[in-house]
Formats: sequence, structure tokens, C-alpha cells
Amino acid sequence: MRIIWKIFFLLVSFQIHCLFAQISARIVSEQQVITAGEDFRLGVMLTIEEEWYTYWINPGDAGMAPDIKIDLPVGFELIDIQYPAPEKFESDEVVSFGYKDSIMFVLRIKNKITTAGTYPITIDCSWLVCKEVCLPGNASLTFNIVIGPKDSLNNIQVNKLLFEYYSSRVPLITDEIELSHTGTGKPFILNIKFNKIFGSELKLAEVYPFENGIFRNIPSPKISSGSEGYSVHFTLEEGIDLPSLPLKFLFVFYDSKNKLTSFESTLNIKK
Amino acid sequence: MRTFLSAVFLLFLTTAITAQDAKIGGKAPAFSLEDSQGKTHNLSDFNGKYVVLEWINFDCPFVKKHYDSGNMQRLQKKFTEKGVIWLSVCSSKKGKQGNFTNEEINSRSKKLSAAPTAYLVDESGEVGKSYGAKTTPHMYVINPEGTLVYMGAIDDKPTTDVEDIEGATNYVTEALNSLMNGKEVKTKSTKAYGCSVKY
Repeated sequence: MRIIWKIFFLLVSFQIHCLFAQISARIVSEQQVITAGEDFRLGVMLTIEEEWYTYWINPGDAGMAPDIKIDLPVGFELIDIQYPAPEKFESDEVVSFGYKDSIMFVLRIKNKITTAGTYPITIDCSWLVCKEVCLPGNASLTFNIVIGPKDSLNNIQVNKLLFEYYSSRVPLITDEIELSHTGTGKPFILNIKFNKIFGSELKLAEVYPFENGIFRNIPSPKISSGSEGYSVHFTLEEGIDLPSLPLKFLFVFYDSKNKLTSFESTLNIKK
Repeated sequence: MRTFLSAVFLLFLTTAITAQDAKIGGKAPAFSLEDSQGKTHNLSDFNGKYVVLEWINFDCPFVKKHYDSGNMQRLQKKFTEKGVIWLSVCSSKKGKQGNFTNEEINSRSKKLSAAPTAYLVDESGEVGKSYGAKTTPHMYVINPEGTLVYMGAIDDKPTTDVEDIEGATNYVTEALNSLMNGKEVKTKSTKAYGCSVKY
């Protein structure tokens, strides 16, 4: 029995690391063995060389969003890919959104498999990594998902801290934030009214639009706080009309202990 | 008091110079820049002609996509043969990535068979900032009246893959073809994509 577990462990650990000069990519699993029929999470972990950075789904003024494509066997289905909150990089006139040091994108996977076994998957990912110069990179990563029977002890978490850390940086979708706007161009003021659930300890630090190219990216947009929430001043990009489609925003808050919490919420445009 | 006023004036002047002046439908910001052959070009020299400004950085993968595939050179040749003035502009600051000596620019341009009217050197970044150029490539089209009629991406495929060029909508081609056929430019502004300009 111990040998079987060792084989399982080896299979789970069999992660192909694609090594590039600036980024190394690998797949990590939250659990050694996945229970049949239970959803699970995988991570695409990018380790970024010092001083280099890569981009969020809205890269900002320059750069390119990462692209992740997963090929799953029958019986598995991708629920979503979760992108942790980015940070802002400023260089002269150019403002970008992304990650440095390391980042893990969290993939939630629906599992309809009822038979124990090993299931190979492939994840193709590509990115742009920049310092002074930018370099495109990509990796084709393979991984064996090990499904164990329902009645066995499968929930051994092998990358618990990694998943805890990066999941805590994934924006929570909430309807506790009420968004409205004043103006349709210059200025465009985003009003953020939030429920008392947030408490007074949380302080809004950054607001990132998910859509690229609608608002001018500036290093420090004016954020005013009031009794009911905040107002953030944006300006539309030159020559861009405000779309009538709803716009998603990511809000990064910090508490008094400098712990990050992020939320995403959608604004319905009124013209 | 005089020192204070001078400082305020200087600050005002600096802001005026560096702020983005380029607006669709507005007068294209005037400039005077030396090219890689040492010749000075003023935007006003090209009154009465269509002008394309292409922000460039040879080692940027997005720029390489369009040069390694020959796409940019084809556009440069096609439109300069029709009388369009095509100016490649580099705003990389001296000492920063993308800033090359004139000899290197000329050698690289020759190797790539680049065919712009001129490669302009904007080391101070003043011209780049006045146009709000943020990426390489970042494209601008100016009509014969000196009005800015297009600004933004070269096409609608913001990737570094050469394969994406085929089938992409090239906004510069679209704008120039419309103008030359007496039509209005349909897409006047898009989000530029590429590497950041190294001001």
C-alpha cells in the first residue's frame, strides 16, 4: 500500500518545468490525489527572474496579457481561471499592470470522473516578460491528475500555502459594492458605495479596470473618500467613446495590518 | 521673487512641452527632428501630404513581428510609392534600450530592408510625449491639412505572433485607403499595443 502511495506521489510530482531565462513555469496541484467526482484546483506557477515582470489580463499601456489554454480529458471541465490582483508598474509616461517575483494563476476544474486512475492534461501558456526589453515566452506543460476512489483518504494538500496565498489575492466577486458613475468622459468619476461589511479598517488603495484601452492609465488616480465610500477620477483615452456594455473593475483594499483584500464588481453604464 | 516666478514659468513650460497635445481631429503637434542621416525634418515640410508616424524600437518583439515578417516594409513601400511620408520615430532616451547610434540604425534598417522616408531620432522624448506615444509600434496618420486622423495600434491582433498578421485588420492601411478614396476614416482611435517607449 505504501508503494502505491509513493507511486501516486511521484506521479503528482511529475511536473514538467519549462525553464526560460526570465520565467520558469510549472503546474502545481492543490492535492496529491483528487477524490472521484470532486472539483479541484490546479495552479500555473510562474517564477519570474528578479527585476523582470509579466502582465495581468489588462496589461495597461504596454505589454501583453498572459494566455492560458488547457486541454482536459473527457470528464473534466474548466470552470474558470483566476488571476490574482496585480500591482502597478510606472516607467516615465507608461503605466502597466502585472506581477513580479512569482505569480500563480488558479484553475478551477469540474471533475465528473468516477473511476480511479491517472489522467494526463496539457496546459499551454504564453506570456510577455519585460525589464528594459520585452521577451515573449511560452510553455507547454503536462501533468498527471491522479483520481482516487471516493472512500480513500485523498485530501492530502501538497501545496496548501501556495494556494492559500494566491487565492487570497484573487478578487472576490461581490454585490456588496455598489457602483455608479458621474460623467461620461472628462471627467469620469466612479462612485463606490460599499456595505458596512467592509468595516472601517479597509482602505481603498488601487482600482484597476478589467477592460484595456478605455481609461487613461495614470500612476495615481485621484481617490476621494466619503461617508458612504469612495470616488475615483478617471479620464477616457483620447478618441475613445464610453462603451454601453457593463465595465468590470478590480478594487484593492488594505487593512491596518497591510493585508491585501481585493474585490471585483461591475458598473452598468448610463449615458 | 524673480527666482520664484522663473521657477513657476519653467514648471509651466515643462508641463506644456511634455503634455500630450495630439488629439483626433486636432492639429498634429509640430516637431523638428534629425534623422539617422543627420538631416532635419519639420512636420511642416510635409504640408499637403499624408504623413504616417511609426514609433519604433528594433528589439521590441511586437516591432520584430512586423519587420521580421516584412509586413512593415511592405506597408512603407506601398504607401511611400503613393506619395505618403512615412516617418519611423525612436524616442528611446540615450542609454536606454532601443537607443542606437546613427550607424547602427542605418545598418539595421538596411539589413531589414526598411523603407520609411526617414528614421527620426527623438532622444529627448519630447515629440513622443507630445503625441502620447506609449508603445512600439504606436501609429499615427496625419492628413494633408496637418490634422491627426488616426492614432493607435497597427492592427487588431495584439500579439507577437507573425502568424496573426494574416487576417488582421490593419488600421493604418484602412485609414490611408479611406482617405485616398475621399472617405472618412472609420476607426479613428484604437488602443496601441507593444513594448513601452523607453523615455
